[in-house]
Amino acid sequence: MSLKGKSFLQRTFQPWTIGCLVVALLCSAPAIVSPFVMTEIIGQALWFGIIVSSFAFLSAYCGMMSLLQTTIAGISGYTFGCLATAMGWGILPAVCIAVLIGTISGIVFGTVARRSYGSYFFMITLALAILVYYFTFQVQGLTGGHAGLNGIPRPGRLGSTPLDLGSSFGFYYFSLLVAVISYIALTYIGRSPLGTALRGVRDNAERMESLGFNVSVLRVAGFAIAAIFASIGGLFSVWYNGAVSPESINFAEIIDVVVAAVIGGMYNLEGAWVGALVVTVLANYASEVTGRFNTLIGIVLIAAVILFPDGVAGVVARWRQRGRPEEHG
Amino acid sequence: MNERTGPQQHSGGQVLQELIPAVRLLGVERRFGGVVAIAGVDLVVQQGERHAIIGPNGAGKTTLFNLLSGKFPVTKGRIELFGRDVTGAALRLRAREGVGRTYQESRLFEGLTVVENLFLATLGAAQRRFYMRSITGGDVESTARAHELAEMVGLEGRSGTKVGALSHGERRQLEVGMALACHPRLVLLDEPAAGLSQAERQSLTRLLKGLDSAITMMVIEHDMDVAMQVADRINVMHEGRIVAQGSPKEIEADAVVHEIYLGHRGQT
Amino acid sequence: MMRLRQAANKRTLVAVVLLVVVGGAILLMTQDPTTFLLAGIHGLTFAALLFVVASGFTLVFGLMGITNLAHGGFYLLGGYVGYSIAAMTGNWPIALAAGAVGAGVVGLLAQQLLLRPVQGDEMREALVTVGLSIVIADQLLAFYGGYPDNVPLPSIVSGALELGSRSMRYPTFRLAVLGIGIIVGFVLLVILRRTRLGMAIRAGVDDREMLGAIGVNVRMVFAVVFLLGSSLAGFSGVIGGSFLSLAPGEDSRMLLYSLVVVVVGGMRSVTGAALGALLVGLTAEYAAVYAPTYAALITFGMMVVVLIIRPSGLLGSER
Repeated sequence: MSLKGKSFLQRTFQPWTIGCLVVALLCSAPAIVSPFVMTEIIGQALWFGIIVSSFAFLSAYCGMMSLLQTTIAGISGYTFGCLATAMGWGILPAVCIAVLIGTISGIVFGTVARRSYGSYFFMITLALAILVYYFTFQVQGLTGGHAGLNGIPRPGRLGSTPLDLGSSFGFYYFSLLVAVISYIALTYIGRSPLGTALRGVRDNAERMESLGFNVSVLRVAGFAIAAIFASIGGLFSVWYNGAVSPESINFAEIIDVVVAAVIGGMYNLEGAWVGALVVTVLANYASEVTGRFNTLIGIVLIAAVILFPDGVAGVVARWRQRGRPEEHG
Repeated sequence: MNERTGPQQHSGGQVLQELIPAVRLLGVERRFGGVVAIAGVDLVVQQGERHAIIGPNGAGKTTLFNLLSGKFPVTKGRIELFGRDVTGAALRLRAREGVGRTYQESRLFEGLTVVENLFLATLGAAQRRFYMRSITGGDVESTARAHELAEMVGLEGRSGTKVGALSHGERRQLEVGMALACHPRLVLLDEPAAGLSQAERQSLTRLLKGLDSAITMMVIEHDMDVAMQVADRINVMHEGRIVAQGSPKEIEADAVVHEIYLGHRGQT
Repeated sequence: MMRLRQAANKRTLVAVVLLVVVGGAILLMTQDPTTFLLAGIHGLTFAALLFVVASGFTLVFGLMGITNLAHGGFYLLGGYVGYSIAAMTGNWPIALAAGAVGAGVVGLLAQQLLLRPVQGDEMREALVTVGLSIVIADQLLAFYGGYPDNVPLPSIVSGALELGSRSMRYPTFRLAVLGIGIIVGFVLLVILRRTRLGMAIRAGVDDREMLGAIGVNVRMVFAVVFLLGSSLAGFSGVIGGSFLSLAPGEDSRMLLYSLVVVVVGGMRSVTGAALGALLVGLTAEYAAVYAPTYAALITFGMMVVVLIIRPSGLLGSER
């Protein structure tokens, strides 16, 4: 927030170089790693990370630990699936409506939960998430009930260009692009006055109220922003899987997002993608180590929460700060 | 009708102007269950006056501030701010009336920097629909004001520091800055000098004395020096009531006050 | 002024909801009294089970501030332990005790080893319990498989009783569950009102920080309460496993019901848990009978409605 031009550049120079390096690495990944790793590991981590980042945004910037992000992603995915298969809509309009519906759901959920804090907030979001889960079984006409929706189309050729977003390379770069855009967008919002206000609500909601802010509106706004990105992530999920079902938004899936955020670091955005990568790696390779993947995830979560509350990103941040006497916002 | 005066009365060519007081408490009472915190307070503070509220612990000073700023409602009585009856108004609306306040316990945004804290205080007072604008660009005016405030309270060197890393005295300074951010017409300072060093007290006193004379100020203080120097009028509270009122000199000589403080002498 | 208007709005909303519910109930009752009555008793007995489950959750949350999301896991664990012991000994009361003890011991260990390190941080505590619930559920799945199991009942209670003069027969066990629920409630109230431990619990629910200041051994009280909470969960697991079933997924189901009960009834009191259990049990059963497609929606919808009216439950204090 400093007006002093020079120190701003100085301060952001380091993170920017790291960022560019990482993106460059990711761009060249298809040439370095096997197609399996590219699509299943890195690719999946990229778009899964978008969903995780919506959780991380809420928890880091708004102080709200919401278990509804997977659910919102699912709502967006279901909307797209419904429109694109049963109703034969084109990809682009279906995408727009899906994100819109997802964001509206986020606003509705945020409005319901807006006056609750801490554990109460956590519990409400959990209950709402499970409510939606049960609901998907019951509204069979729209959701296909138990079986869900299948044969969901991916975006294909981009207009008349040779770019095919449906191919494995195309999809990978598409995921990378959207992930980078999401990261930049969320960071920018976090640093904007709106982001500062959200952090104010996080730190002391009552003080914000007494300063003249409408805390309820701010909380719902934060929720809506997170919902946009959760919806986008949800689209990638249905494109990747070609299908969606109630099991896409069950308790296990909800927890995966939480685990990823905890491992990566709940108090910053970069950690979202780090955590997403770790969870994706575990999901793919854990079966070689142990038959009981869930037990492993549970143990990892417990260990991460007890030993590394700031997650990987927190460990890195503390390590970088060893030499510096003062912390800068 | 401007904000400082009421309707002008014409009576046979004579013009009488009534000045609207900044604060008017009429028969204010506050109970918490069976405990009577404020037992009936009548108080008038004219615009531009500097009032100090002193009294032993538990006298109800902070409760009075809480009633004024709207943290909770009165059990009985009326509160008027600048002529407006605000007895039932919510917290958020009082802020918009131009009331700035500091708190005894720290009520700062721990994870944000000094400038960000002041920025929020400024923004909150601006009452603009800032949400959309803020996503597209920084709010330059408010940021500038935030830096201005930091300088005013002596924190410009620490503007980029997170609150969690500030010293106690610096936090108090920030609190005063937050109270001033909204260009308040009324400032409520709850023990601003608590825990400050001698030098810090002096600069605080200078800051308070140097404030715009149009600002009405009410200070709760245990530190007699600060209270006596900064205030025009002293109110002494005891067991939920105002038991003595007067200029610093009058209060110093008052026997009732001495009795209340007997045994408290020697404590700050 | 605004405050009064807000309060009046809330009161109208509550009045409307009550009107709808009572009106609906009268309508349904006059249409088909037998079904209505049967559903009512089903609801009461289910409520008794829910009360026992939720009371454990409420004690831990009220005193320690821990949202124990592994509570459902303890339910299932106790149930399965009871199932195994019943298979070995053929003795239901022993199985019941074993379930309670099994879950209690695991709970106590978890609290001492995993929750103490993060004590005071509500979010981290909740996350630890999440991890714990995953591990418990997965291990139970590994050990007992995915098919639903049932704890066999002793012959005295496995039949059905004749109720009233309409020769309506009702499973004896479910009535026994009602009785057990009432007894448990009574015992808990006695503990809370008449023992030193109970006094400490009530004081701690009111003001956790003061507890240590007045000389109570907080560590001991916390450990005992968590032990009690998880034992209650295990105890109810054996009961539930006897007339419902034991299967993967039952842990989440019971956890969610506990959440709804605790939210609806007020998060911090045993009486609240009783009220909540009654409301949720009856609602769940009536919804299952009269509007099965929307049963889940109605039950959880109730939770949402309560939270809109009072963010801390019906009997909880506004904090």
